[in-house]
Amino acid sequence: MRIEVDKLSKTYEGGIKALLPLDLAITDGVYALLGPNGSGKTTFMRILATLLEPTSGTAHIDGLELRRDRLEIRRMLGYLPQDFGFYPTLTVAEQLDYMALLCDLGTPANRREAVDRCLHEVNMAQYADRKVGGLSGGMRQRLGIAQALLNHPRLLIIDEPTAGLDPEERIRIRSLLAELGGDRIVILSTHIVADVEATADNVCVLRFGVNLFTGTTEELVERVRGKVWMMDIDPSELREVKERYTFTGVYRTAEGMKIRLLADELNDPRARPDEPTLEDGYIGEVERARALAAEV
Amino acid sequence: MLWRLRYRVLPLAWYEMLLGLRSASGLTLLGVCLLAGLVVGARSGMTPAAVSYQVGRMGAIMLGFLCLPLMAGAARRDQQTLASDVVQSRPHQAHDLLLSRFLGNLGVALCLLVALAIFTFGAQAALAGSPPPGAGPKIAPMALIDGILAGALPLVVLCALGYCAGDLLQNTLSAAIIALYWILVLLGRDYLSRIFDFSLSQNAAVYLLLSGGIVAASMAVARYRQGLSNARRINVPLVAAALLVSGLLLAVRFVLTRHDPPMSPHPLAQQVASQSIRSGRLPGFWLNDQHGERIALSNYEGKCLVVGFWSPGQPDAAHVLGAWQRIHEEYGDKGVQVVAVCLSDDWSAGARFARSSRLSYPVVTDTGTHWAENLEDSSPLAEAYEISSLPCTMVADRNRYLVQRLEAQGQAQYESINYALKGLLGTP
Repeated sequence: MRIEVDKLSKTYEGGIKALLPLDLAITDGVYALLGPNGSGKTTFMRILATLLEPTSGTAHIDGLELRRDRLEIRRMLGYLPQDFGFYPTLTVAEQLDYMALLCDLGTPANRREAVDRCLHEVNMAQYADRKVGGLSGGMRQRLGIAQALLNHPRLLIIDEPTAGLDPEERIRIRSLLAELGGDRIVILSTHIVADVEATADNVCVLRFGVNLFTGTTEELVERVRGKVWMMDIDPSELREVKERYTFTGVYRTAEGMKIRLLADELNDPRARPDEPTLEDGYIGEVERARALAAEV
Repeated sequence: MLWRLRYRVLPLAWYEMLLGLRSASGLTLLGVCLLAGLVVGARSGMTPAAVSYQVGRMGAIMLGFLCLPLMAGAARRDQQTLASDVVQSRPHQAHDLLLSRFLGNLGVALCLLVALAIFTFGAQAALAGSPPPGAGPKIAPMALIDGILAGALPLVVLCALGYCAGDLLQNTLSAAIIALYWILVLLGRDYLSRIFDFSLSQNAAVYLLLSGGIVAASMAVARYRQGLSNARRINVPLVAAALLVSGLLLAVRFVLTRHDPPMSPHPLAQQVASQSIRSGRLPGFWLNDQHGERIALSNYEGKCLVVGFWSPGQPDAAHVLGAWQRIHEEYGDKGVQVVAVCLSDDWSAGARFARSSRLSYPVVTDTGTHWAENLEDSSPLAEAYEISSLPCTMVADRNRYLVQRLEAQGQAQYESINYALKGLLGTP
């Protein structure tokens, strides 16, 4: 399967440019869209999910065009929006059956089989008879993923799946997402780098609708190799250091404070180079774009 | 088509019905309707049977109107529960979804109507006790069924209007339409309430066609909005247009040809109303009986006449149908003719009562009946006969001259007529 995005852009009423012309090629695997809030991730995903008309450009999903072949694309699509809800008075199984009807899964036996399979995939079989309104945030999110899986989607779009979850649920959702790859495209948006580390093969960094980086997670890490430093500082110095360098982490220690920062060169005896992580790579890209924008 | 209905439309409609029945708004609505029915219907001096009838009838009518906001709310459920994107991203056909959701919510409204009927039937059975002697045993339930049915047709129409306005238009716009509608119906009194009167069962064809048209047109719009519309598949818009046009044509025809004083003063109605019983002679009329045959008082020249007035809207008055039947059976072969005049703008209501109670005398309906403060002003015949309360029976001699005017109820009515006829016929 292959998605080709060709100069896709979106400008909302009032002239807000949510997405500047974007070119991407996506193939099977988990593809993460990483970026701060308001960077155009949701806009891009809603356009791919055929819910939003692009202002210009187009995308082809296995040869199907976004505007023309909306229904065919939806047949191969599983979509979980960032802010979503279900009908609180239905039970989990009823809600999934409702969604199965919308997927045109046909006879009751087919639908039941799909509902059972999805409930098992997200480990919620024991909650089948529980009212949707009584589910916790994490369970609701898992139900959201289950409904996205009902029609064996070859394209799975999941928007901010771990937002607002407690650490335990976040880990559970991540491990679930990691299992979803395979012979399908999973597009995952997040502003939490740990989500990407746990699940994605490829990553695209977006900021204010601009594509800053596209490549594998390893390539993003390599972009900041040799530029990551750890330094022990006194807490009173924090403000001064913050103004001079880009932070990627601050840790409290027994002796005082340890900071992780990005810099091409650092002539401080306390600083020592460190192994880069994906978070360093992401922040490096975002900061580089910010600096460029400031210069312009 | 059948596959779509069986595996897509009907199961979705079932879930929609579940959603509606499980929400608190349905029960609240039912409570409001019963309360409103009680407030409007229960006036002092009414018997328990009449009160339960009025509660059922007013409750059913209120339910119809309150279903507008209920349906508009159901149509916006996806937006309210944030389920829009999840639902829209599925490969469903928007027009099928609209149809199933409309049917499901209509099912909710009909369930509420049935619940209302069960409640008022229960209340009537508990409060009304046994029917008065001489009354047909089925009269009270018949009146109640008639009252509830008066709300069923408006319910369908208003559900179609409410759901489609809610689905197609923004909240504010649909709320404005609903508010305007309310104002027109409530303030319009005679003229506008006549045009918008869905409760007349003879209007069923018009309004069912219009409702079908509204739903089909909404389906076409939904299909167009989803971007699935193309030149080859124009069946839904065509059906919508056909239904709407035929409904509108029928409506225009009804409005123009109806025997209705405020809208199209009928010469016959004016002639009837210009007569007066004060001359001592029974005013004549020419109206359809329960079998659809024209009956005129002049048909019964040389016979003593018993002309009784009643209305299906007043179950106490409807009880006299049984008393008149008894008179008809006892005096029919002795030169006495009983004619019951139903004061209702709905011919089928009177005919339904007559058929189900197996009345063998003619029951004609003065379809010129309309809303009025005083009973006397509500129909041409009520005006001519100066009817101020129901039931009211006129006994006339062989020359149609009024002998006695009786306003008693049930058994007393029978006895009074019996006494008057004995005097008139000279029998001991």
